[in-house]
Amino acid sequence: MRNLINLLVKNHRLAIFVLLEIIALIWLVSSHAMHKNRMASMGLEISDSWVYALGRLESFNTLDSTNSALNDELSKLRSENIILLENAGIDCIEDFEYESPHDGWYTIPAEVIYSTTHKKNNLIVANKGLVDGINIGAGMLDKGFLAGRVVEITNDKALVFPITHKKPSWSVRINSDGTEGVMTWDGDDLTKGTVRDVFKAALILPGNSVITTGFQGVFPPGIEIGTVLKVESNDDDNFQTVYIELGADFYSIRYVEFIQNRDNLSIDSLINSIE
Amino acid sequence: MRHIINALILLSLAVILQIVIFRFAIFSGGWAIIFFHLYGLTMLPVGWNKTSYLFIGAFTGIVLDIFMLTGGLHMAAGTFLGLALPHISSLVAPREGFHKGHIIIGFKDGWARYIIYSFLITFLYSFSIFFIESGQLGFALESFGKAIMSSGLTLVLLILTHGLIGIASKAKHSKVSAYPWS
Repeated sequence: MRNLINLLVKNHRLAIFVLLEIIALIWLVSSHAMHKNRMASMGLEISDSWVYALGRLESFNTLDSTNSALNDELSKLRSENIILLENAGIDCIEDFEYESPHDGWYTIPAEVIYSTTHKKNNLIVANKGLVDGINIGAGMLDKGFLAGRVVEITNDKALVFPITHKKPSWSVRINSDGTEGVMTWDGDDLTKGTVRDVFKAALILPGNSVITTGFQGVFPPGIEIGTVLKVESNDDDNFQTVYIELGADFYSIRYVEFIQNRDNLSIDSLINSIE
Repeated sequence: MRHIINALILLSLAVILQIVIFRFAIFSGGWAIIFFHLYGLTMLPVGWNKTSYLFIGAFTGIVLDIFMLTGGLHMAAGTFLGLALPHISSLVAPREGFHKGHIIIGFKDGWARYIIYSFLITFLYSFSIFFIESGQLGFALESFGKAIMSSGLTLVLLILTHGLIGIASKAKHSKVSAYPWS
């Protein structure tokens, strides 16, 4: 207390100044409605921003678990969507008009931990493996778009050939009821792909969607790959080449889903028994 | 003591003139306002106890607020000016400083010094008034513009008043010359 008094005595001029200013401002606020309102709104703003800051801090702490929960939710929704697509009785997807012989497609969320974008044969490694229920041959989706397929797997990681790898080719269809073709990547642009072996008779226009046929067993039919950019007719044969813009974004790919069918193993064993 | 009484009488007169006449001197939609009572504050002797300027500034403001119904606005600005006044006078002081009780006068100390001194006082006061009145940081630039215009106008009036009073004082003093043979 003594120290406080000493401090006040030492800085008495400043203390008097503050006191007089407070008196003046109280007088001002009490006699001017505008200042009164402004003080009230300032008080509200300060308390609001404090509560908002606390809320943000709290949500930041739970960001990791929220992300994980959202990822799971997204995966679940996409799985449900796929199941709905397979159900021919659902009106909202009648436009697709494809027949899916497969049931039981499901997805597993994962995170990309390694990816290349500058090579002719790009690779992706994801943080899920055998223990998570992923098998060789499982497809990979990025935001619902076809992104690649698993070629090697360990207990906790999966090596994926993305569609920006030159080796694999992908069976695709232009529009849900359109003609089929084979999509490959030319090795230049990560956002572009090429569909070959498309019959000249097929009418294909820029903007048409390109989807999976489902013939390879990697994806169910109807998974989007991208949209048509331009079409070129080949003079030498009866086919045309379709250039497409890929839907998957390989520059920012991070959260992906592995999609696979519960019957795939039984199909494989059936095929192996014939061979 | 006589100097103190004279300074306080001058301040009272300036305040009365502000309340009676110059309260109506509002130009350009409130952008240029005359604060004539500041003449009384510029004519206060330097070197007093610093706290006394604080009280004089606050009291001047209180009187203006009571009669002009400005509700604490002049008191807030006057208190702030009272705090800054000793620093302003030391800022414009010559190298050897002012002696205690010195009054800064254009004829004696030079007009440049007087103008700078008066401008700093009027600007600080005007800016405080406009800034407190706006009540928002976003209006700081507008307050600055208003303060420049108002302090410019007030400064012109202060220089005119100071010049006229100074000339009259000189004429009065010349009657009692130290050198009667001249």
